Amino acid sequence: MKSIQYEWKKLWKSKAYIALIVITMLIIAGLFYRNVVYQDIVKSEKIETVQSQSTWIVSYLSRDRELLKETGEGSNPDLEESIALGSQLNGKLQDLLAAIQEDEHITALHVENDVYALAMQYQTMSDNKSYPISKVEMEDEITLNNELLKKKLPKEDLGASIQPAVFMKQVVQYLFNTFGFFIVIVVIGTPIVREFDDNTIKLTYGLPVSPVRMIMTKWISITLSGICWFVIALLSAYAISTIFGTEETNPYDYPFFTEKMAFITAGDYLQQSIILGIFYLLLLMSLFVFLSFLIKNTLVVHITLLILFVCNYIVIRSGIIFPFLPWVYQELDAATLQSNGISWTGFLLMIVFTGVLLLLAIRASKRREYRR
Amino acid sequence: MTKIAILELQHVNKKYKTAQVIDDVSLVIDEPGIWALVGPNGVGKTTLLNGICNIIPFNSGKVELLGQPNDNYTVFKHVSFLQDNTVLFHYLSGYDHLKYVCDVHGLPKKRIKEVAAYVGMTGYLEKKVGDYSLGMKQHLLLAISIVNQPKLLFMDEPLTGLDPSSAILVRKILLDLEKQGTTIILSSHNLAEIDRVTNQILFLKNGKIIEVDRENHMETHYIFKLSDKLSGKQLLMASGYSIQEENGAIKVTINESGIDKCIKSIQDNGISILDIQKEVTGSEKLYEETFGKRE
Repeated sequence: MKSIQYEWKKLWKSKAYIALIVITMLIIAGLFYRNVVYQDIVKSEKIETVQSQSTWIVSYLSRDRELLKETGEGSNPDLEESIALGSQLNGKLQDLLAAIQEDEHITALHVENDVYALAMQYQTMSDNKSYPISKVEMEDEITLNNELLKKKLPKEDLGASIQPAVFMKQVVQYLFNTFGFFIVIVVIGTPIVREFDDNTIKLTYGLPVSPVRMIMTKWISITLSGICWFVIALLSAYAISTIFGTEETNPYDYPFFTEKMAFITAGDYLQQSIILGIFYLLLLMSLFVFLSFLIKNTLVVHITLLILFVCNYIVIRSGIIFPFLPWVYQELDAATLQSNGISWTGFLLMIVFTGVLLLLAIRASKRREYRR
Repeated sequence: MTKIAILELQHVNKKYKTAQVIDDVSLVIDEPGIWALVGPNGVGKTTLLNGICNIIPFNSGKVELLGQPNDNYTVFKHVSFLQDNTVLFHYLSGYDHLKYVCDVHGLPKKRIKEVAAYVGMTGYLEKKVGDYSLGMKQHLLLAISIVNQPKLLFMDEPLTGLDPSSAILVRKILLDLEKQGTTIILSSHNLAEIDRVTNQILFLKNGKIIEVDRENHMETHYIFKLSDKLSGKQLLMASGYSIQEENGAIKVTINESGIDKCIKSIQDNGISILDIQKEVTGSEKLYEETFGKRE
């Protein structure tokens, strides 16, 4: 325990860790401020989207009406039905516009569903008229709106929300990814691998410290530091969005689509993200300790890690995600949305991989050859 | 019962690429005392000490410290190694370093203050090592290496960067430790300082430890401060002693068996001896014979 305190002290006094925490908090505050500023933009973008749909339908309506004038009433019942449906759709779009402008979020959800139902009907009637939104997208939106209506929650823009739960998801997405984890491991791990470059490791080598104690002390201290950063980031996101964000009675019931187009509530999403994130940190830190004692050179360790991170990122982005493999949690948001709850296989594999890496690190620590 | 050697090297070798730095060295030290490891820069003194303390591995051979193999980490409860100052963390304080070492050894916190006071670093214990002078770093390294009261102590250039008063303090500490039964093996370039703390020297040349017949090269001097320097000088010269004047004192070259007679002769002539100091020299001459004189 005392040795862990010493490792902690080294990390804290190197100042890079404190800088990391401060920068993380500033990024979160900056992101939240950006979202606040974006609230008006989000609203005007919504209005713009509805207006563009309205413009689209109006242009078809006027063309159809011209056509009807030419052919005469009663000559083309389909066209007349299409005009009637189009007019109804346009009317609903105007209602939607009004609801958005008046910030009547729940009404807007109802009306939006009506709009999409009519739009799909309208599109079915005349195949040559392609509505600005695809049928699949509209169906997804209706499903989401119904879920939101059940929970009496307004729809949020996932990229610019100030609702606490949605903002925390955004933080998970922006911070706990390939880039974020790489920066964290470099900052937290560097004091350990640098001991080989500046010879300070020789101080410990000359003391009665067993290889197991040496490795475990370093691993526990950097893992705790990583978890500490992770928790501070989430707490900062929670605090800032709870204090300055929108007030909802049940924000953590907000539904997110999973990769399988089912729903996961924001609460479950965050809970899973935290557990998977901690799994990943345990594994990542053991990998770093192993690489440090194997390679014994800061630059080479960083380059090796970068290569591993990039390769893993490419594999994840190409869609090969097996949620039970702990290294896919490098893209935490994608992994959480992909996984169906916490995988016990994943947990077991994480324990096994971490254990193996630590054993290899202990073995590597006995090989004390390094640069002269 | 067989006596356990304090240090035993059996055919140890160390090669860096093509350079054979340590070449089949065998050595047994089974009597406590201070041993000096001497050789020119780059000859492999630090490599030898690092290898003995398992900081780096030898390519072959066996090392035993206090009867245990050097890769048994528990032996370092009783063996310490004063390394060069690159092992110190510049952003930590002297206190942080000593606390870590005390924790590893399972020593109480009060030992930090004790050892800091003993080596004279109480005044800057809480300062960051990055702000230390070379001498301060040496003091900290010394404190780290003696905090556990080792039975065997290796010291790599312990006198580097020390001002005269610090050098005197370190010399006093070395002699104290020797009295307490600690065996010290130190590498140093400072032959005059070595002469003051030990007469046991190990020369390292071409990767091998060379045994030298030191007794024939050693000269013992006694430096007298007398109440009447002039009369004393005349008396000693008349008695056939080889003398030199040095900083207001008289330096007499004489072996240990003759010192009592010399003192008696001075006192019998009514001259008071105010101070007397012993000085052994000869390492320099031996060094020149072993490694050649630098032109």
